[in-house]
Amino acid sequence: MMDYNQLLGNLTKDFSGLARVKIAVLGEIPTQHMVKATRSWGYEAGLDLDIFEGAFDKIDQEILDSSSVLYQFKPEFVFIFPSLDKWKERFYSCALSDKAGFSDRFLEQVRMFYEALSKRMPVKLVMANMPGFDDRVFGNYANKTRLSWLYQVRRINVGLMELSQQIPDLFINDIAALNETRGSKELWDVRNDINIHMPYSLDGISVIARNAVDIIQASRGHFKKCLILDLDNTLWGGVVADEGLENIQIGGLGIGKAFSDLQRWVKQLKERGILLAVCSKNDLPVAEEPFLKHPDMILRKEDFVVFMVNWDAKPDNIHLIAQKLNIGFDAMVFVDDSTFERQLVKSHCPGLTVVDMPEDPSEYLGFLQGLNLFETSSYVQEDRDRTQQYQEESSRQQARSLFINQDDFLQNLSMRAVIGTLDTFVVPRAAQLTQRSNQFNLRTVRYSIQDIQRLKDSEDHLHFTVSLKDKFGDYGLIGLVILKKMHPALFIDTWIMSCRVFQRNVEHLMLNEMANLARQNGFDLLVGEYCPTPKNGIVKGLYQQTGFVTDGSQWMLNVSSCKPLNHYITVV
Amino acid sequence: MLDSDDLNMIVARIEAKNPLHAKKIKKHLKTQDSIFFERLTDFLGAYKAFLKKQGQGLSDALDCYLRLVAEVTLDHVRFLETGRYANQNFEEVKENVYDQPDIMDSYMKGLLLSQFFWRQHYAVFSFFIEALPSFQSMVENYLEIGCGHGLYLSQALKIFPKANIDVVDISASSLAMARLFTLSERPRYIQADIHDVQESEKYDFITLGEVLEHVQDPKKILAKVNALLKPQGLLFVTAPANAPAKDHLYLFHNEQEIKDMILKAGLNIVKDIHVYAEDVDSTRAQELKVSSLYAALAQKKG
Amino acid sequence: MDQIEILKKLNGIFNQVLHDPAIVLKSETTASDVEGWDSLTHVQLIFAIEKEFKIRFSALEIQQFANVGDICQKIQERQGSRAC
Repeated sequence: MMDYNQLLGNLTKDFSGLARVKIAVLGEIPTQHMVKATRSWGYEAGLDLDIFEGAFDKIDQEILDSSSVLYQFKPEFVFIFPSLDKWKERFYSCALSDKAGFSDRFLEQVRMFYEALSKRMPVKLVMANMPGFDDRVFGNYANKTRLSWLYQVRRINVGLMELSQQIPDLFINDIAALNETRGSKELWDVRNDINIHMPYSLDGISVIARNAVDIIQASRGHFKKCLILDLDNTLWGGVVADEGLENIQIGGLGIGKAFSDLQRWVKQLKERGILLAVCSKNDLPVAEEPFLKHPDMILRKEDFVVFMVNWDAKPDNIHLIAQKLNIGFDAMVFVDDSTFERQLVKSHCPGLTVVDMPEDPSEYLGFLQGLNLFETSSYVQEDRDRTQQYQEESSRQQARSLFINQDDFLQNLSMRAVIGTLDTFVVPRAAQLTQRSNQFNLRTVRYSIQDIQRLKDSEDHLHFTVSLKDKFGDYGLIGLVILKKMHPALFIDTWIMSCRVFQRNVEHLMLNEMANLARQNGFDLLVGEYCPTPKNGIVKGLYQQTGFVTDGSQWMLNVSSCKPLNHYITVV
Repeated sequence: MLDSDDLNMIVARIEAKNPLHAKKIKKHLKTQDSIFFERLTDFLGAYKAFLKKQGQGLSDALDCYLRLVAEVTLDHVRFLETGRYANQNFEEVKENVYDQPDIMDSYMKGLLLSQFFWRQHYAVFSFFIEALPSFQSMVENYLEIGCGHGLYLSQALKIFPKANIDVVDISASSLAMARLFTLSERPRYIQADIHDVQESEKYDFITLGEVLEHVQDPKKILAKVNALLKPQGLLFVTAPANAPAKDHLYLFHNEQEIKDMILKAGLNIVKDIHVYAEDVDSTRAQELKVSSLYAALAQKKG
Repeated sequence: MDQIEILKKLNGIFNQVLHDPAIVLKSETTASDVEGWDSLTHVQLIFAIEKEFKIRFSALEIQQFANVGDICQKIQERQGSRAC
C-alpha cells in the first residue's frame, strides 16, 4: 500500500494512453487530499481520472441545481464524502422527538441525491458510509435505545446497504468496513480534523482513495476471475511429499487453523464465481491425496477447474492455465508462499497479480482480504455456476477429440438456442455481459443495469439475447445484440458473445437474426463499427468475413440481398 | 476549437441519431484551423437567416442532412455490390429529383451542411475560395452552371463584386434556393439546359461544380463550356469519383478519368486537388473504392 | 541528533514533499517564504516528518509552528537529545 507522499509522485507521470474516466468528488469535508490520492491510485490502475472537485460543503447546490458545473462536466461516477462530525452535530441538535427518525432522513437525502442526479444524466453514485464510532453517551446501553447516535449510525449503514440493493447504480464506498478491519488509528487523525476539518489521516486517505478506484475498476469490467494457488505451505502447513498426509497442518494440527480459515475463504470465493486453479510442483498422486483423503481439508478437487501438478516451471503452467480458461493474466491472482516462485512468475507473466504473502501463515488470510482483490460490480446466478460451467466445457473438449472434423462435432453437440428479449429477469445478466466481455465485443460499450433498463424500453432501439445449451450442459445467456434505429440503417450498437461459446458459429446465428429483424422492421442496411482494443482482436475481421462491405470507416450489409450464414444450432 | 452553441447543438443532435457519423465529424472538426471556424460561423449565420425565412431552424436542416447521410450510405452499399451507379437515365433523374421541389429542398439543405462537415467538400470549397481572388481584376463576365444550393455563388458574388454574373440551372427549385440563400438579385438567373445557351456571349470564368457526374454525356458539357469560354478563360470544375447518389449518372472510377476528360476537351490544368471522403491512405482508399472529389482550375488554350 | 542535522533532514523532506529541489530552509523560514507550503501541504509535511523521525506531534503543536526553527526544536525535544 503506497502512502500519501508516495502517491503524489504519480501525479507528474505520463497519463497519456491511459483510459480516461470522468468522476466527480463532492465532500462535506475538504477533498483536496482525497482527489490527489484518487487520481494517483487511478494511475496505478491504468486510469486517467478526470476529476471534478465540487465546492467545499456545497453538495446540495452541486446536485440540486441543474445549471451547476457538475452537470456540464457529465461525470460517470459521483463520489460523496459526508462529514461524520457535521452529521453528529445535526443529530445532537435534533429535538428528542426527531432523533429517532434521523437515519431515515439521511437515507431519504441519499435517495433524493440519486434521483436528482440520475434524472439529468446516466451516473453511478458512490456514497461513503459512516463508521460506527460510539460517542459512549449511553455506554453499552446505546444498543437498547433508538435515540443513541450509535443506533442511528448503524441503521444508516444497513439502510445504505438496502438502498444500494434497490438502486443498481448506487454503490457504497465502505469506509465502515475499512475502519473495522484496519482500525481507527490507521484511518483517522483527530489533529487533521481540528486543524483543517479533514478527519482522515493521510494513510486513511490512501486506503479510502484506493477503495474508490477499486469500485471504478469493477464497474468498468476489470476484475479478477481466477485465483491460482500453490499447495505446500500455502493451502496447508508443511510439504506433503516429505511429511506425509497425516502430518500436514490443517484443522486442529499445529497452526492448521490458519490454513483451514484460508481454505474456507477460498471456497467462498469459488461459490461467488471465482475460478480456482492449483499450480504446484509435486507428483500428482501425492498432491491429490489430501483433497481426496484428509478429513480436515475444506477444499475438494471438484472445487478446482484446473489442477496443474507437475515439475514444469510455474510460469509455463500459468500460461497454460490462462489459455485453457481463455482469460488474460490481468484477470488472475497468484498466491504462493515461495518468494522465488513469485519472482519467477512475476517476470514471465506480465499483468498477473502476484501477492507478496507475509512470512507468517497466520497472517495470510487477513493480508489477502486486506488487498480487496475480488471487487465486482455484479452478481448473478451464472456466477454461482461458473466452476460447473468450466467443468462441462472440459467434457466437451474431450468429446471433440473423438471427431475427425469440426462440423461433425458441432452437429453431434445437439445445440439448441433460445432467442429472447431483454425482460426484467435477464437485465442484470445482460448488463454483466457488457461489463465482463472483452474478446467477442465489437465496440466494448459498458452498460449498467440502469442503462440496459433504459435501452430495453427505448423506442429507438431493437435488441435480442441468445441463450444456448447442448447435450453437455446449459451455457445460459451468452449473446447480446442491441441495434439503434437510423433509417434506412440499423446500427449495431452492441454485439457481444461470451467466450465460452466460441467456434460454434453462434455469431452466424446472431447475424442471421439481426438481418431478419432488419427486414421485418423495414430497414435496408445493417451498419457496424469495429472499435479495436487490446483484447478484441478476435473480431477484427468479423464484418469482412460475414459479408459486410466498408466505405473506409463503417461496415455495411445489404439485408435484402444477403444470404443466411451456416450453423448447426436449432432455434427453439 | 471554437465553442459555439450552434456547433455543439449540431454535433449533439447528430450524435443522438447517428453516433458513427458523429464520430467522423468530431474527428474532422479536430483537424480544422481557425479559418475553418471563422468561415463556418459566417456560413451558419447566413444559413440560419435563410432557414428562418422558411420558418425553419438548424434542426430542420439537420434532419435533411441526416437523411442525406443515410441515403448516401445505402447508395454506397449498392454501388459496392453492383459496381455501377443506380441511375442511368437523365430524364428519369430530372423527373424524380430536379423537378421535385420537396426532394430538392431536403437534398440541397443537407448538401449545404456537407460543405463544411465532409472533408472532401470542405477541401474543395476552400480551394475555390482561395483560388478565385487572384483573378479579381480579369473577371468581367462570370458564369456558374448548376448552382445547386448557392454556396459557391455566394462566394463568387463577394470575390467578384464588379463582374456580370450569370447562373444557369436546369432546376427551377435550385435557382429559387440559390436566390434565397444568396439574397442577391445581381445575377441573371436562367432556367435552361446549358446546351441550349447561345455561344454569342463568352465568359472569363466559368464554375462547373459537381455537374459532370449528373449528366449522361459529360464530354459534351465540357465541349460546350470550352465554347463558352473566352481564349485563356478559366474553368473551375469539380467532379466526384465512386460517389453514388440519387442524381448521379456518370461514374468516374478515379481522378485520372476526370483529368483526362478535361484535357481532351482542350483545356490545360493549372492547379488541382483530389480528396477522399474518408481519412485513409490512398492505396487503401483505391482498394475500397472510397468516394473522392476532384477539383481543378483549368484554362482554355488561347 | 543535533539541530543542524535535523534541519538538513527537514530540508530534504520539504524538497521531496513539495516537489521542489530548490527549497533551502533556514531557522527563520516560515510558510510565507516557501511557495507550496499551505495548510493542506502542511498536513503532508507533518505526516512525512512524523514518519521520518518516528515521533508524534499534538494538534496544538501542528497548528502553532511559527517557523522551521520551531519545528526543529520540537523534533529534538521529542527525540530527547540535546545539542552538544
